[in-house]
Amino acid sequence: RDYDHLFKLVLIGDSGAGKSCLLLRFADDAFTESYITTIGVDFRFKTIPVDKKTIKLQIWDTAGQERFRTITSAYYRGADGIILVYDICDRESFAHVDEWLNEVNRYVNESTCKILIGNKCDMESERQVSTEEAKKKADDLGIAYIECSAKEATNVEQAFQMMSAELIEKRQKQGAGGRSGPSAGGGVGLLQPKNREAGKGSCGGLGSCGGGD
Amino acid sequence: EAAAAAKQRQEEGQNSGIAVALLRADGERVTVGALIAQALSSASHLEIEGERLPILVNPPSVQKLEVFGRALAGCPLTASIRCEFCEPSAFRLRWMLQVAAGTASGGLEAGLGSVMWVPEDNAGRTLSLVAEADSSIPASSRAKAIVRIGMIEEVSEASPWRRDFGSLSSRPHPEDRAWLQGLSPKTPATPATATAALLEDVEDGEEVDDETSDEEDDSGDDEAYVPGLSPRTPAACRTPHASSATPAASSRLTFSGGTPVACRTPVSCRTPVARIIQAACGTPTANSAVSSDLDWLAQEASNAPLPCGWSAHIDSFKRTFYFHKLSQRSVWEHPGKALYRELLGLVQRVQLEVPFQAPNSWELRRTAAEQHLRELHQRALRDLEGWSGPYTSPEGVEYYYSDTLKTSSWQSPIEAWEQQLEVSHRILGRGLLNVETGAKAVVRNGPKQKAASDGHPTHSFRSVARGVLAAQRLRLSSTGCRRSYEQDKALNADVVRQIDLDIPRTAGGDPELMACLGTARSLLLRHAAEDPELGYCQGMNMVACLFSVAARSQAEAYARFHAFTQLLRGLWLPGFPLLQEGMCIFESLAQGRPWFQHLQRNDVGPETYLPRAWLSLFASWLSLPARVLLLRELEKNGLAALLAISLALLDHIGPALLEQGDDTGEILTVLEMDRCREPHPAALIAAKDVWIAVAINAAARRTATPLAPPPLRREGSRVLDRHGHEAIFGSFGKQRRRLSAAWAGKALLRFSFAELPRKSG
Repeated sequence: RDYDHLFKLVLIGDSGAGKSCLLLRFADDAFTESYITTIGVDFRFKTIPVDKKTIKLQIWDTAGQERFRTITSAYYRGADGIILVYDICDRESFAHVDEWLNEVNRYVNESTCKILIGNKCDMESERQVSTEEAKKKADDLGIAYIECSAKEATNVEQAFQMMSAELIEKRQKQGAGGRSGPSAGGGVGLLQPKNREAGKGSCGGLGSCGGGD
Repeated sequence: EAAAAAKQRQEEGQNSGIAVALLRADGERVTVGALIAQALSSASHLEIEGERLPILVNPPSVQKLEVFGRALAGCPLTASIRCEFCEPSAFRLRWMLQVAAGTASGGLEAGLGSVMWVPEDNAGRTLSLVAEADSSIPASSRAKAIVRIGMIEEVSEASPWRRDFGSLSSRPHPEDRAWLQGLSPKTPATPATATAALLEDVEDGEEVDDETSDEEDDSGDDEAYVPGLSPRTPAACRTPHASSATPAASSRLTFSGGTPVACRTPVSCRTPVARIIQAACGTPTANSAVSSDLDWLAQEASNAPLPCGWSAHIDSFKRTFYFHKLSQRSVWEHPGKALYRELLGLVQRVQLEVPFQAPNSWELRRTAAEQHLRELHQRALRDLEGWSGPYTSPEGVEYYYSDTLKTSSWQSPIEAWEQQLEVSHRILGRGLLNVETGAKAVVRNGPKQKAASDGHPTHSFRSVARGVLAAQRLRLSSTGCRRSYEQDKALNADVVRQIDLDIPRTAGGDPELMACLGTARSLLLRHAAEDPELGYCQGMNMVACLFSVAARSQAEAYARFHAFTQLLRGLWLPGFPLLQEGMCIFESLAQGRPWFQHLQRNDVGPETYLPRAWLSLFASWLSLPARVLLLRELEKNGLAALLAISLALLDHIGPALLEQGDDTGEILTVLEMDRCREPHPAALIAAKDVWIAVAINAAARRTATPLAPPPLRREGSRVLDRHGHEAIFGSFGKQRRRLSAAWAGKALLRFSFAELPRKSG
């Protein structure tokens, strides 16, 4: 094993907030205008050093369209960290932050590490959400907040570093207080989404409605 | 001399009592005993009794800076430079243009390098040439030289030559007859028929009218000029040839280096373009900055053919001018040469900035060439946006129509641009990369052209340009469009917003897909309006775009897209019922495959890779040509074809998956299926054919395991899932009922219905 910790992170947020671009910037240090819509889920691995430890991050990038939540929600479960992205030039994507957190909290426990990212901070002239307002919101929610630009590589690395440092701390605390079952450990065998049944359930639900008409 | 004396003193051991020393740039003393020449060249300061004086030995300087030619708007000037203690290439030649007449000279940089085409529309401004030493060599006051070339001339509007439109020579271009004007794409005139002859008569009449009117408002503005059918002399008339009126300013050439020593440079005025360049190239000055290896380019420029659509004419003063029938533009400069001028400028600039011996010079030159081609490409596409076609005339001849110019043409406007792209390709290849290829080879299958122009072959331009023109045609043809606009208004704003968000993220840079984005958008909007329950789901953008590329017309694209989305509707419906079911069938079919077992062992279920592949019709796995090839099969067999293709593809990468061992990250990377792993389309089709029968069978029998009971509850008239989301969207039409029965399975329906909690009472 060539790493000290493996963390599973999930990127969520409104469609067009720039989740895929953030991931591309972080994983490949690249930016492209000709990227493609994320359908379902996409993933990347990246190993980074944090506090003299080697951290392997397994990052899942999810589709933003509401319809895909039946598929993407399966990936929230077992996630060590949730990265919630909004677009600072799109007020609506900021307004949906609460909605996203409610959605996520159904699958992960309260203690799961979360971070709020305001993306596209290079486009200052088109800003619709002020830093103060977002900061206040993050404080109210009790999560960290940072503004990034995937295009200009501002704070992208820092955001992931921040998250990793917090996760390490949490993991070490857990280690000190004794392992509380397999759910706390994370890191191994987390790829498999756990609620296949739930997905099928909603399918059955539609079928039933058709019959009930 | 002082420095040499100082060195001597230093070596004498300061006998004179005055402390003198030579210092290097880093403050160290120059070692005693060094050779004089060495000591002097390494020293940067002279220290006398603690006082430091900067010294510079043998600084590079300009000996002579000359300019040939006359500062006439639209004409070339060439410069030659001779210098001391350095190569001419150490000096950058910058042509500076006065910001506006009357201000301080040399404000704007107008060009670089030894040849400069004087920009048009700059009459009255002063042009000067500045030679500046490169920053890498130590500068001195003599390392800069300025030549003030004088005012740019232009023949005034009121000049006597501007009159006399009556004697326009009629030397029609051979293709003149093919250019006819109509006001709508519906009414093009036919070539070589009686109609054409008639039109020509009318043209003549109009010409006369135009001339008289023009003479009347000769002093008036040219903006109000109404395009007629006849070639005209250019609005702002510039004489490219020397003539009787020669402003004195043009011959005032002065040299002023940083030093008071002023040299006069000879004024030599040679007019024909090619000759000037050659003269400059072959100048006996060995130090001339103009490299003679551009002779071929100058020669080619002088023999440049007329681009499509242009014709040459001679006016009453026996001067040649050129006329572009479509845009009704007349110019003095040979329009073909304008392209060469641009290319020559680029080649020279790059040669100056990136000498051949520079590290990674090839890469830099290639980038420059590519960038230029890309820009030209963009310019062409912007220009073509106004055009639409091809339409077919009643005689069966294809023609094109420009909505902006309100003109029809028998000749494809793409050809002129193609010609330009070809020339640019060839010249940049030869001039910058030393790649010698014939015009044809560059465009088609020259072995080296790929290196020179990756991603910009002209044939890809052709297909994109055709796409642009065809899209315009569809936009202009009125049938079938009105209905869709009405439907757009009825659409949910969120759906339109999501579609518009995804349309730019569909092509991934592929030019062919990009050309179809407009069509794809209208397919999606129309479809979302017709089937609000399905609405729009990410992934459908790729499907719509694929149909737009595969179909010959928008109507066909829509019909096929509509039929296909109805067939596989459950794939994108909220809750993805068909996707779930399809994955179950997939699992049952793939059970025996070693790669599948390997994936299962590593906890990589089909839900990780199939949704992406299926919802976008394999956009993530296959290249565009392969997808177009497989589209018919998908339309015919629906889910079975999806299954068969997925199984065939995974069989293909199966060995690679097994090779990765238990590294989940690597396995997922292989599943992303790099384009280099893509199987040959023929192999894929053969592999798919093996699977298809089994898949059809499986899809028909629906052997998939029954699904778990849905956790639904009822709240008033609404049915909610366990998250409180409404499980039914919209109303249930006949279509919906039929599709539910066909795709969800009768047993499933009964089962779920029984599970639904009854309303109390």
